[in-house]
Amino acid sequence: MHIPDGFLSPTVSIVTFIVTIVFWAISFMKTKNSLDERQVPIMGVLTALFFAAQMMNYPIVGGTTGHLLGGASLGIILGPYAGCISMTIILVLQSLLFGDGGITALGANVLNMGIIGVFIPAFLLLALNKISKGKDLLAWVFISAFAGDVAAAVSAGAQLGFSVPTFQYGLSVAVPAMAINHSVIGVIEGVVTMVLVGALLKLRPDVMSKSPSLKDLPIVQESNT
Amino acid sequence: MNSPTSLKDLLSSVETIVYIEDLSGKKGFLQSINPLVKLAVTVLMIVVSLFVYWLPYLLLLCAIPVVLAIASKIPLKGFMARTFFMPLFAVVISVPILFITQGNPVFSADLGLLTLTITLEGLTRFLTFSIRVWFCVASLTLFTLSTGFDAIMQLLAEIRVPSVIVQMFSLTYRYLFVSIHELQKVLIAKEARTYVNKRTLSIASLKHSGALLATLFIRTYERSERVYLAMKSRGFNINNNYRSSFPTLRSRDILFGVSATVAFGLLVLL
Repeated sequence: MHIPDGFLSPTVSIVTFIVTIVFWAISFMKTKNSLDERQVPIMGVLTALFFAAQMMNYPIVGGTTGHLLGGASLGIILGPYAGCISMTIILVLQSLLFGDGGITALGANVLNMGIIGVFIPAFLLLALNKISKGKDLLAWVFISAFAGDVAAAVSAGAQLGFSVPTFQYGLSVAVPAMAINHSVIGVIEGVVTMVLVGALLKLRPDVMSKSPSLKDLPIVQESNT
Repeated sequence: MNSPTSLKDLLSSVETIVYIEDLSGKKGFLQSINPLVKLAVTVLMIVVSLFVYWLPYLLLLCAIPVVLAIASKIPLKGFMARTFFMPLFAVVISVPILFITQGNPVFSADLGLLTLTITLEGLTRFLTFSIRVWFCVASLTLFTLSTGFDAIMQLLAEIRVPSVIVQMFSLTYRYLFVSIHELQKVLIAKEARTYVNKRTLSIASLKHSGALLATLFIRTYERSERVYLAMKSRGFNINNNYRSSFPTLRSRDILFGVSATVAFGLLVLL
């Protein structure tokens, strides 16, 4: 899903950068007060972990592999605003160190994986949890992570589709291709996120105290008292 | 025993980082240019290439990263290897364009049930896209290889990224090695204790990965507390100013920036 340089038209690059800058500003404003001297090392070290976790590849079909995007996990555990900052750091480092995603496509990549891929799982889980009143939590985690991944892929497909003639294929090809491919990766994301959240709730529920989706769960509240 | 993809990926990522730090310390042309000017020229190169649709011009552009790599003492073999993968992906996804673009046929193959025809227009679109992607990837790679992480952090501070975020970047980079090492240890321990005939995707393997990630998360969370205390005892200050060590603009930087802007501006106008 990391769009390299040369795939997006200048217009799409500029528009996605503008949207991303707005979200960066909102996320920074929202987290500014909590990003203190103690919180910064915690977020930096956790971001490094998710960066490393993204390097773990899972075999899919025909010799291809997929990897965890981590957006859903970060959005659910750290909250969408801190998650957006963490994903931005990961995406910038991936672009500069490994050539995974371009510099002019950074706005688009952050919009897809750091905003859509983070905010949708976090807020969808919050909504589903409220509707179900805390029942079937892990199923909602799976659905939220899956939806975030597919929505991010659809957004990437739309950006590529709108980039004709810089990109080769229009919306009718780019969007379904990305959505179908990431439906499989979305299942991986969903299962891994579900197990991760489930294990954390069981072993260290206190780390979920920053999560807007899960902080109201009795188990999390009890762990903080 | 074949090592799993993840272990290979983790090792290659560490190699990549060491390679970058190694090259950015060399005394070459781009290493001597101010990182801010270098970033501006890199973005300019990439943006200009998006407006070039004439193949000979695009090929001419491709000579620039190669010349700059030589002038910056970046080994061409390693440079080409690093810039090869992404364009290969662009080649693969744009192959159908060769056959579906209407125009003057240059090659035709009768496969019985269908006839595949490559048109001149299709070939031009295919080559333009693939070559442009290589140029863009090569330009960004050149920037990274000649800059190094510490200079990139100074650059982020210079373009007014909040110091809290720059500190997070710096910590993420530093602890990336620790996280990779930790992940490697867990994966090697798992490999040593399990027999896998064929690596396939299954719900069980995904659940295992989720559990592994949870274990690492808890360990990392607990370590981050110790990291903070250790940093604090060594005088950690969240407002540490990277900007103070950013190199000032010299005439060489201005000359490079202006000449690149004029050259690429003329290319677009032409």
